[in-house]
Amino acid sequence: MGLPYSKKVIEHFKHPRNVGEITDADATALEGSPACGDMLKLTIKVDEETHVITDIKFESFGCASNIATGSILTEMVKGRTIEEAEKVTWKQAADELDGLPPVKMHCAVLAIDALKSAIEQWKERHGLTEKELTTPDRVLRKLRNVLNPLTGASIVRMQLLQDFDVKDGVITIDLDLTREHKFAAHIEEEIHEKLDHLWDVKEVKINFVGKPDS
Amino acid sequence: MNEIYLDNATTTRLDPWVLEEMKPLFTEEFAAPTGHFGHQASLDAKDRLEQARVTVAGSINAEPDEIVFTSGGTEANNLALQGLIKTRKEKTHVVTTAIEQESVLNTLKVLEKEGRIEFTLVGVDPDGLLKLEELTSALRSDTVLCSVHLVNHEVGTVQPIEEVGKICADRKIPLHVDAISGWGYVPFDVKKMNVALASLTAHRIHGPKGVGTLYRRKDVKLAPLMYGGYNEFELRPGMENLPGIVGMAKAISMIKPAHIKYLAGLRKMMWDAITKDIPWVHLNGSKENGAPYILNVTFDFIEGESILLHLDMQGIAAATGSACFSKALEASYVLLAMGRPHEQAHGSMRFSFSRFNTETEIEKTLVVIKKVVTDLRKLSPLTPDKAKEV
Repeated sequence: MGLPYSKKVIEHFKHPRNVGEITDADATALEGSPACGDMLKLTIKVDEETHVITDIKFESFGCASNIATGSILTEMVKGRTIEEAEKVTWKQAADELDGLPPVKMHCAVLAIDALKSAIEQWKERHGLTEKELTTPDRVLRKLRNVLNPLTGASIVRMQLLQDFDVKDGVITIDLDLTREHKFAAHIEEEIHEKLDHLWDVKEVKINFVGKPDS
Repeated sequence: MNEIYLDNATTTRLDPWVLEEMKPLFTEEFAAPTGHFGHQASLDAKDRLEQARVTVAGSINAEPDEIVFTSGGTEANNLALQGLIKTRKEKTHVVTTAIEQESVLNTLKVLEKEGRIEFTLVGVDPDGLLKLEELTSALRSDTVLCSVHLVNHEVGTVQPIEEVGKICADRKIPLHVDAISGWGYVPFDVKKMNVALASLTAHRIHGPKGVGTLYRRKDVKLAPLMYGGYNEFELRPGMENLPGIVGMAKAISMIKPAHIKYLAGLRKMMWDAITKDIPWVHLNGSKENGAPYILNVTFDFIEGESILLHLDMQGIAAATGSACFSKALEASYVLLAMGRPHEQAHGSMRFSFSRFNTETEIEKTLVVIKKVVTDLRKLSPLTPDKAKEV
């Protein structure tokens, strides 16, 4: 049995492209945290006239798939406009690497999140966007990017998200999982990572409401 | 296939002499060690079985009739814990540490879920040493068992079993010791240490896989987990794995004090070189109370799976406590219990040695590690600028 990684993942892991930090970057994004063992930093240069990403560099604290997704994403969006880059999905990033194991799909999500935050930051600076309010719709969009490591599919699609509520900056989430579930702590961490930093969110409460042995 | 194998705390290669000892038991001497009134072949087999029992008993200063052969360490742990609790009708209490192996922790979790026991986890200090006062105060009037490992499987810390044994003996609480990671590597004497139950396994000492031992002091009552014939003091039915059992006895009898000294030398050599050549590293474990063959190190700012994969591509096998490497995507619970922050647990690497490793292998490994750590640090957003150039 070989490693569960495609040749392309290994190739990008061994020889990552566009590594480093642009010192006079137009926007910077740092997603994930060292505590989660998964962190990606992106710096971008964007042409103000054409909106073309003229340069992009990444740094990674993470596993092989984290490094490989960071690397491939920089290749995918360099030379494209931010409007085009915004449309790149984590699925496309994973496909470009000839796939990732389900348990590693969240690395692709992290990379796309970093790209989106960098672009958002650039747009905010250039007055192209308003600060977005955290609506139920936005929360759902964020939660679609939390994956069940067992399948690599979203917890929303897997119907693990039983219920949620957004009220006065407090987000309450009911998960159809028990506290004892193997991935409970991981999924909890991922949700906090996606929601805690939103500017108008005060608290994220996660309840495990699954029945034992279900 | 890795050229340099530094994952001996997971499993070890079978010693060729052990294999030679086992071979005839698969072919000519295959009879069942039935008992006193069988045919000659079975009587011979019985002799081999009982000789092995004497050898294994002697290695831990036990009596031969206190040795129950099992399919390995996991079964021995299960038989000790479940077997003892099965003899109790009432709900009881068990004390253990937060850094036991999964075959102890998960067995206790199930027993708790079934309403059979409550259990208390005793914490450890930053070196991974259990807190004796905490253990003492955790013992209750309904505590029927205390379970503490001899050597931690991840960081190699050697627990003060003799002290724990005294505390338990004073209160007449049987002490179970999971000695899987320590047997053959550190002193272990069940009489001197007041041990009531102990789990051993062969594959960690260059013996075969699929065979282990539960030592059970005569006064400790256990119930079997499986039912069948009357083998192994009615505690473990099933045809005896005689080649495995004989291999296990041979493996333990082959370990010499010189091997232990050699292992400690490799460990020291590697740690000294790492601290000399690579800044921002931490030892996970105990400098004074560490097993001679386990070295667990955190390299700051980088993540373990990436290190492991780079080493693997250079033909070096090691292990990591990173979440990315675990089946549950959780960082090592051992390192977290020792108070290490998550990021240090993610960056931890375990190198574990055997007498088959050479100093040249360690030297080669050090060269690779230095390059891998430098490369990954250049890539990491956590690395301070000054550390990138080192």
